Amino acid sequence: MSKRAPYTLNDVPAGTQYYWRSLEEKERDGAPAPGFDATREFSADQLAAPSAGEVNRRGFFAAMGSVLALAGAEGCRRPVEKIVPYAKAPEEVIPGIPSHYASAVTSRGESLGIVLECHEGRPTKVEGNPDHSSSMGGADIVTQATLLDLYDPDRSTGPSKGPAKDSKGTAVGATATWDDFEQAFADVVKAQDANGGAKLRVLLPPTISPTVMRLRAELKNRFPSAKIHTYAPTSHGTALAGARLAFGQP
Amino acid sequence: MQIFPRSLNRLPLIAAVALALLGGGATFVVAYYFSPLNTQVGYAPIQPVPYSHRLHAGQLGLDCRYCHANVERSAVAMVPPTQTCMNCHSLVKTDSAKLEPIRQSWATGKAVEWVRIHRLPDHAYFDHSVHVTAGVGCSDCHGRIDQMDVVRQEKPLSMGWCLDCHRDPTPHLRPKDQVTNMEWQYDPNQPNKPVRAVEPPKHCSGCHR
Repeated sequence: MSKRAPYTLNDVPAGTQYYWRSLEEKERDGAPAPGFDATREFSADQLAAPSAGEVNRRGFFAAMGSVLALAGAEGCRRPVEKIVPYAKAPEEVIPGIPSHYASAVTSRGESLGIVLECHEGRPTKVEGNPDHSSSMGGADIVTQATLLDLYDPDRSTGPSKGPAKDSKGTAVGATATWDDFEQAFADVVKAQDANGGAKLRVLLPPTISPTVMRLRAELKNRFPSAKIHTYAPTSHGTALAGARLAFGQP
Repeated sequence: MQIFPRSLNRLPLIAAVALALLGGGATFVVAYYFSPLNTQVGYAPIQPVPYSHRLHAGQLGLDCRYCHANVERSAVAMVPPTQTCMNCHSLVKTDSAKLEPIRQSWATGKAVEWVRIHRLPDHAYFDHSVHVTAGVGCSDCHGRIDQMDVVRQEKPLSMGWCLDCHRDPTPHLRPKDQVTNMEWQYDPNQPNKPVRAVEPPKHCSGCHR
């Protein structure tokens, strides 16, 4: 409904007798029969009441005009800013002073000792840990960039079933729970036990974790014909090979 | 053949005087009404909880640093977390309706959103701890907070105002134990030994880092 059409004729009960109001109407409609479709009088898009989400042209310009008027009015005042403290403040956090934590990050299958600079509990910078033998105070650009993994909106937060995105790029994979994974893997185990895992493939990133190595060995024991593939999108295998050539060891 | 009457000979003079007066007036209007002296002094927004500094800091005598604890340690003197309020208000006035948002925040863990009053623009760097440890008192920049029921901004916090002190800091430096004393007044006849030798930066990159 708008000012031009304050009511719609949909509300008029069927069977109401309509009378023509001008000769043009009479010519156009003839003597309207009961059951006359009164909605013919209005053009189709005026009657199509915009559903939530669709806006017809008139509504769009009305909205734009009101936004413009309101925006100008509120730009003159000082914007309201909030200070939001903690409700229960953690002990070692002083707002304004960063705190540093020693940590390790696995990057390209190696674990590097790093020092994280955190502002109010949020890590903001990765530096190498001078006391750690793997980094000795340095951090390369890939390690520095692992900071963004913490804030990546696409980061995985749990197991997911199926591919995350289909060929067109639409997100299809639903996040599953660990129980779902155990269920699914139990089915796989039952199926694969028969032929020694000839059809089982596992894809893992490179790692030096002793736990993962042990689990890989156990998997191999259980399914001797399964294949475990190791893949990393970025790797320094060529650098390691070159170091081996040059120094005899990577 | 004279088109214009002779009296119009005065016109340039009158126009110049009027323009000068108008220009001067406009300059004054802009310089005062558009400056932080007018746009920021007096800003006293309504806070989510009607906390009265006059009651707590003035009447009860709470020190500023009990709540704004990091003022000597950090660049920002924080607003206290709900935990600080509940230190007393879990025992005192536990049923007061004015404290309902605080109790709600304590129960749900959602912080209370205070409205910020004293704000410097992002291109100016200000560090509270340096100033407080040098002996600048709280009331020098924030006024008599202990007499305010609703906190209002007393000083313009403009660059010129900051430079006034940076160029002559002596009237604003107090002995270390008087920093939170709201009633301390500078007495030129009794020069105070400053807490430490101060060299307030007067060059641009002192604050525009």
